[in-house]
Amino acid sequence: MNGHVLDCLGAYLDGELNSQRRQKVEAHLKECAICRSEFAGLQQISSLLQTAPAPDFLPAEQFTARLALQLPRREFAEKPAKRVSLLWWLVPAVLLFAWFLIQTALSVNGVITVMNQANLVKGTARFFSQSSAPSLWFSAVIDLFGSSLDGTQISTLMFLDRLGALRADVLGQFIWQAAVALLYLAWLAVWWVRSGSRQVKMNGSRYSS
Amino acid sequence: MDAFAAQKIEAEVAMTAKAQQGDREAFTELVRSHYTGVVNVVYRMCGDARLAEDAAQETFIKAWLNLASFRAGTSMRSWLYRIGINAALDALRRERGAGASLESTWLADPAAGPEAELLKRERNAAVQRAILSLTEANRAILVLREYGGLSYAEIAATLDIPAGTVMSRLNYARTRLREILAPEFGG
Repeated sequence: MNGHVLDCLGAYLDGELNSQRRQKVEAHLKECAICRSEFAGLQQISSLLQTAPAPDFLPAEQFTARLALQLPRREFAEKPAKRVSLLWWLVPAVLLFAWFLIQTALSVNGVITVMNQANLVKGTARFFSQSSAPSLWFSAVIDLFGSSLDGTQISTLMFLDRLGALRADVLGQFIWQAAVALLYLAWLAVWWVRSGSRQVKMNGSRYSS
Repeated sequence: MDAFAAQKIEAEVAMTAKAQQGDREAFTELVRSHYTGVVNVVYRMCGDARLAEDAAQETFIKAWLNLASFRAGTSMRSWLYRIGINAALDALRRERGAGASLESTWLADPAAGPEAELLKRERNAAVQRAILSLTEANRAILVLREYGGLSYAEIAATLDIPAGTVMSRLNYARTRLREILAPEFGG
């Protein structure tokens, strides 16, 4: 004889087994007196529970009529909540729009920089930095020592000047994007906490195990 | 699912949507169709008819106030049972805290003789005592299955526990009830 199926008997009684397992249990019950007796006991207890008489409660109509008088007004409480909710969902939309604006501005800025360097446009303001103009320290060094510097030294100084400007550009862009990303993440975190607490409020495990 | 059941679900979804918009008539209709199930589940959780009616009322008031948080596409019955179980346990704790003794109030069935009525009361009292001896978690699962008629998957979703836990706890609860009730009723 196969092993007993005692653990599956409750699920079998409740019709919760798939057809393969159900057939297996049925075949086993035909052969095994122990499991058959256990199953009969389960059937008996389930039947006892279901046929245990309940008191006569108020009829549905009477209960409903009584409840209708006690239902609090809900409409007034809901209106401000809806307004808050609308503002709440506007936050990520505004942040995404800000992100898009910054990305667009950065792209346009990049194009203008390239065009400035290629002398295609002159005197056009850049949005995020003024790095196309030489920095003060570079101009001062050239003014003071320009005549005594050779070509390699001037090139090195120009390279350092460009590097500083590039760092300022990248840092500026990074700060803008990081600020928007941080605000968005903060909103997501608050949304997660709020939805979690609402879930616990209605579905939380208040019964103890 | 047969056509009648599908139609019933569709009507309930429409009624729920109306109730969520603040339609009291629609909500009353929902109460009417779920009252018997809710009051039975609540009664089996707390074991007292008067408490059960109060807890059922509290259940529907809470449901009305929190209808906005009910997610469309989920089961209204399971949602109400969940609120009902919590309301019943709260009522039971309050009552026990106040030191009151729980005794079901019965309306005598005029058709049954006094002896039959006594037997009926004793039988129910024994079953109810046995159910109340279970832990709250095991009791909730047993009640949702035997009196709420929920499937294992629905119980798991209602109580937010794995389906395997439903099966093992239900097995344990039934075994425990057999041990308690067998000497009185055989089996």
